Amino acid sequence: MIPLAFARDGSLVRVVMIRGGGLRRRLIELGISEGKNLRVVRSLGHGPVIVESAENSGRLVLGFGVAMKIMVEEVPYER
Amino acid sequence: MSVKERQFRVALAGIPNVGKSLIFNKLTGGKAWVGNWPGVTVEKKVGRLVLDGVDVEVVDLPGIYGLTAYSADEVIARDFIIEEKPDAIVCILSAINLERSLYLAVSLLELGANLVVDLNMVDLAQKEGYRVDHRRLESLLGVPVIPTVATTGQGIEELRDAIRRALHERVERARVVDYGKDVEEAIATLEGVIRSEAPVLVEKYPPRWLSIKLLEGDAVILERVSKVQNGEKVISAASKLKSELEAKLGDLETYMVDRRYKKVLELSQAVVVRESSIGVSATDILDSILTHKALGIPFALSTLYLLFRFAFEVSTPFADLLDIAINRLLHDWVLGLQGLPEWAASLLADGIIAGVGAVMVFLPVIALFFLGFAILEDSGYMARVAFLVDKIFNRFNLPGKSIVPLIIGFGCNVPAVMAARTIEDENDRKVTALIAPLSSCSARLPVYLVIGGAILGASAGFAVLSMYILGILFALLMGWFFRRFFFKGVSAGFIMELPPYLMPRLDNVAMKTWERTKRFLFKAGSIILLVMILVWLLSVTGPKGFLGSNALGDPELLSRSWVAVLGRWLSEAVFFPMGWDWRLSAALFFGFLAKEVVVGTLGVLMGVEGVEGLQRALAESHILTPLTAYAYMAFVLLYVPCAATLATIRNELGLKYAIFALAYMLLLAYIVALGIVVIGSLVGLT
Repeated sequence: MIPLAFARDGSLVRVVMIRGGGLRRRLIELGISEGKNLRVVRSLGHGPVIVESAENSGRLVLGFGVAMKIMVEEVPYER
Repeated sequence: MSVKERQFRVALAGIPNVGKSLIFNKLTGGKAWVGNWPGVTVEKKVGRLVLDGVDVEVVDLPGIYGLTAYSADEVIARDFIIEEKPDAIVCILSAINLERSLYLAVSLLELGANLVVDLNMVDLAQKEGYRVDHRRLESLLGVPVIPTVATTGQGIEELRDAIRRALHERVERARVVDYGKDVEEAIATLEGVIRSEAPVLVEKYPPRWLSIKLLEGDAVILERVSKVQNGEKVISAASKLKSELEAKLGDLETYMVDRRYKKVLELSQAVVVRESSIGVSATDILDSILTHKALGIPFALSTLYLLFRFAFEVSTPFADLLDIAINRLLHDWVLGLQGLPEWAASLLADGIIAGVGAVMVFLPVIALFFLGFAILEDSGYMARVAFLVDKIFNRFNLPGKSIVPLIIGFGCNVPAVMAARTIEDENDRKVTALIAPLSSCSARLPVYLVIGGAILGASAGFAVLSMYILGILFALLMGWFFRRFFFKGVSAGFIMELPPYLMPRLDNVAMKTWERTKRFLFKAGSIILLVMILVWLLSVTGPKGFLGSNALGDPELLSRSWVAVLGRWLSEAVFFPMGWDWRLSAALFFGFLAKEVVVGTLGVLMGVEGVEGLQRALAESHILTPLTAYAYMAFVLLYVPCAATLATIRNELGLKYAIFALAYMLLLAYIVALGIVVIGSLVGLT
């Protein structure tokens, strides 16, 4: 389990845990919740990330502070 | 606003980046009244739409994702819906961001809104290879769904028709989400308690919605319910139900938001029809370079540089024209007016017109800067910049989003302070508003150019550039400092939608440019007028009384004015380590009203005309060494941009923060200027 901020560029991750109540609520509203898969479109490496939660849902920039509070695990790519 | 009784009221809602302003403009013809929402400084835009000769007031709600108590904008939106009970709400969905838009639509339905859904950006969805079946969505939601392309106006007529129909036949779909047997039972029980114990609540809130919010533990709602008669009974019933359910379902709030989101996913999967698969989009290609780890920031810097060049180069002829028209023709014409007492002519010409002129000369460069910035913003690039700088900004405990006010600050600090509004976290927002004035605005540039050009010779260019870098550097450092000592805690970080790159729309860009430029004009204009009159008074009078209205043009007379008294005092008591003489000190005092006035004042005080004359006088008089000149430039950069910016901070954050900003900037400017002189002397510079 790693913070989303550390996830690799282009990887697919599953959300394991979100720390912080208010943030969690906000993220669920944006379609990011425990158990959901995210594609890391862009990561600056221990910094902010751009993620995509699903097809037809726009991309989100998550600042470093937010990306550190989302714990994820990498999901092997299925093509 | 018109006193005429309105017939109907319609509100526009939507998540950010759905083209809401454009729809607002298309519906209302672009005419809007701007006010503030009660109690907060979030702008409220109201327009008018005429349907069959009937007046309909259109209220633009803030861009929001949901209706929670966690964001000020969301509380504003839902309070408006609860308090003002608009006759209909148009919820604008983005076809390319359907899930998030639908979440808002569902939240609005739950609140009992009489909803008309505008499915916008259907053209962009098509480009991405899918379409949204709006008829299916209409039958699933049970409210009208109108596909539109706001950029071309397609579907706007149909939207008008749908609004008109909705005004006459109200549809309510508050039960759009099914929370499952247990929770639904609890909601029903709680509704019963509300109706029997505190019926006053039913008059105000839709009971189902109120029950849902109470079960979710919405802080704002809990507080309001506790204040009505028997409210405590309702709350204790709610908390009992909540703990029973939580024993079974875990955190109830999460559970309910999750159910709502599941409904949204279900809706979105049912209505999205994929028509073709597409490979890599243009946005992906652009982003592979523009958000690149190594290339992204250099590219952003070059873009910023181009923006500056564009603003300064293109504006020069316009600025010159305005300068001639106001500061020469109008000024001289007023001075030559017959029948006007001499002092009145001087007050008008040297006080008011010169002051307004000093501001107007900056209008072209600021307008062009904001034009270029609006193009960058509307293309979607600024969200990328916020992403790129986030890592650096985080070291200083600031969110990447703070970059936007800092860049706007290069144009004018007044809209920069206001732009901090878009930052969600309160502490992040306050800190950003407090450091935004350190961004070197366009009014400071003439001071650097004149002084640098006169004293620093070949290194002038580098010195000027270093001012911009120093400004940003100190903004970051002060941000860190404030977070460390005054607004403790870490930055909340930020979440920002990353829109696909879009060709900016001319009307949208023009509107944004005008809105920011207007703020500069009116805010700056009103304050400067007042201060200019004061300065004029201090210049034409002295300890020995009225000096004559020609004091402003006569260095000898001026040296006996209050301004000179003040300048001398400043030089002897405050600025003695820097070695600035009374004219330089007095010019700084004048600079409070607007930075460029420093140049004009120096000109008057040294008895020369024109920029070249002033530069020659500065170079020959030896009142500045390269070292004290550089310290002077740094002081000009850091000490309070202008009275208008302070007034804006007062409006946005309150008087306390305006005084705080004034104090910290003066102190910072003094310490830095002193540091430059001391360290410079120690290493042997003169």
